[in-house]
Amino acid sequence: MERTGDKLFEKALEYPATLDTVPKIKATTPLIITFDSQTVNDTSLVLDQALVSFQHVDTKNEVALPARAVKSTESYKMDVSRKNFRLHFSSAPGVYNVALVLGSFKQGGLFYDLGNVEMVAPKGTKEKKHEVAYGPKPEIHHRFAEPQKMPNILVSLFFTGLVVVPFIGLLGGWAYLGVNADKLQMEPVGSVVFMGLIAAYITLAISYWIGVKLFPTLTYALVLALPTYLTGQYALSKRIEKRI
Amino acid sequence: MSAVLSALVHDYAAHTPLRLRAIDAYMAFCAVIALVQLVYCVLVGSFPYNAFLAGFGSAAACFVFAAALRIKSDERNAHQFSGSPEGAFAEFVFCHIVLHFIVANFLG
Repeated sequence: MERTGDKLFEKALEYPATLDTVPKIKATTPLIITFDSQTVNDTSLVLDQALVSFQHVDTKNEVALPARAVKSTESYKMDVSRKNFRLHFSSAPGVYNVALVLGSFKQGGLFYDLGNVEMVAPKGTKEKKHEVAYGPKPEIHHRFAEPQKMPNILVSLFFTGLVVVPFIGLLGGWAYLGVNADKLQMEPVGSVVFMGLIAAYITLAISYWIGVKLFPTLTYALVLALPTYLTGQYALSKRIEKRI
Repeated sequence: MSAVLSALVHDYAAHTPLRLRAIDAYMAFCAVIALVQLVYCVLVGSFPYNAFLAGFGSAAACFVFAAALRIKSDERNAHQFSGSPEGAFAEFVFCHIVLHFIVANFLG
């Protein structure tokens, strides 16, 4: 019975030897390939590319997994973990040709065919079909967003009226208190022009809301700014003078 | 409780100048407008949310500007502020102009 940590198969190869058997690799028995590279002078060679290629002998589909450098031993290690096995081989079991694809900018490249291994699918997994069907995809039927549910129009109109009522109440309250515009006569022309320019600003804000674009609105606001400031300054300073 | 309220109302009517009472009426108006919009949002829902925020924010901001105008217009606070009530009114107008452009942009 297999136990965790048991080595089921171990083979050491020296280039250009290949495997003489086809070992079976299951999802529960991770495949580990370690290798090192040396120059002709027997010095350790740092690789710029170290991949392990698995090519299915029947479908020719290829999976290339990178090998990471292990600095302590100056070697490279590739580990087909359970996650990688599930991702790449569970749905496409079968015999794979294993090869090292090595590259060095200084020394060139090497394709080292190691031999074949058999990837055994776990029980219960469905095999993916390897045929690729070319043709039109199913038609997409666009679903437009459904409009938001809005309240009854009477409710909206009621609350619109409810918002207007306090304004009437405000005017009535001011009338009750005796608020009036008599002191505008202190400076009638300046005050009227000032109030008119304020009304022009409010009209500009409303027109911006209705449809006028931002930059024309800002231009008009800029044009109104100086006269508003000057008339406001004039009207209010005259009022201060007459008050004092 | 009712005695306290009636004393408050009497004192308010007797000692509060007309200008401040007019501003108080405007502040009450802004508060009621904000409340009506809030009740509508709670009852019916917040869609469109930007419109609710623009309306409610506008009423709340008007209330705040009116409060600042009231503070600066009160003669009892004259020693704390260097400007005049007319200057406070000018600031009030400027703030409202900027506010209404922001609200118009946010209304959508």
